[in-house]
Amino acid sequence: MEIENKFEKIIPSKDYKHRNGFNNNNIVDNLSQSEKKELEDWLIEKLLIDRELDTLIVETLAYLKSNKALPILNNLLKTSSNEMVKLIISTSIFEISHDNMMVSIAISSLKNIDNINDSYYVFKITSAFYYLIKFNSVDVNNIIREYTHHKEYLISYNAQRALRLSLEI
Amino acid sequence: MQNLINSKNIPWEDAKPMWERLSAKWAQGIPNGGTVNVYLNNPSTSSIWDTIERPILESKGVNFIFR
Repeated sequence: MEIENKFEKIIPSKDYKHRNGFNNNNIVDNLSQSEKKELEDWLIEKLLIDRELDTLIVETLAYLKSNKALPILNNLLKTSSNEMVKLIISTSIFEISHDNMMVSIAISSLKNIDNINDSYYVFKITSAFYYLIKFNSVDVNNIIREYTHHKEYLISYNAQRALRLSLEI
Repeated sequence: MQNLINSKNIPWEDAKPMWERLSAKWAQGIPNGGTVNVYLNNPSTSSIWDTIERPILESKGVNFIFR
C-alpha cells in the first residue's frame, strides 16, 4: 500500500493542479533499486491496461531507461495519431535506446505541429523544443535554431531558452 | 476550464496548450510595469510559468515578488 501511494505521487492526476510544472525525477531518484524495478513493472502495466495513454508514464519509463518498455513504446508510436504524443514517445525511446530512427520521427512531428491553422500551434511548438533538446544532436538543435527569429515572441524566446538549456544536458 | 476539460475528457497533452493560451492571455492583461506575486514550488524547466507567463511579463517590464 505504501509503495502504491508513492507511485501515485510519481504519476499524479492528469490535471493542471498536479501536472503544470510537475517533475517526478527527484521522487524516482529517491527510490531504492528494488522499488525502481517495481515502479517499472507498475508503469508498464498501466501502459497496457489504461484506456488512455498518459505521456508522463512514457517519460518516466524513459527516465528509468526501461528496455523492458521498448516494445510497448514502439507499438504506441506506430498507433498514435497525435503529433505531440508521437514526439514525446520518440524522444523517450531515444532516451532509452539511442535509436537514431527516432530523430526523423520527432522532426516530422515538429513539422506537422508547426501548423498556423492550429490555434494552439505556438504553445505546442514551444513545448516541443524541450523534448527535442533531449536528442542532444547538432542537427536537431539547428532545426530549433531556425525558430530563434520566429515572428511569434513565445516561439523565438523558447527556442533560444531551450538551446541554452541544451548546453546543460 | 478544468470542468470543460474533465467533461470532454481531454488528455493532458491537449489540455496543456489550452492552459498555456489562457495563461498567455492573463499575462498579456497585466499592465506594463505592473507587479505580480509569484508562488512557485520548484517547477520543471518546461512549466507554464517559465515558458509562457514569465517571458510575456518580462517583455512588459512587470516586477516579480517571489513568495
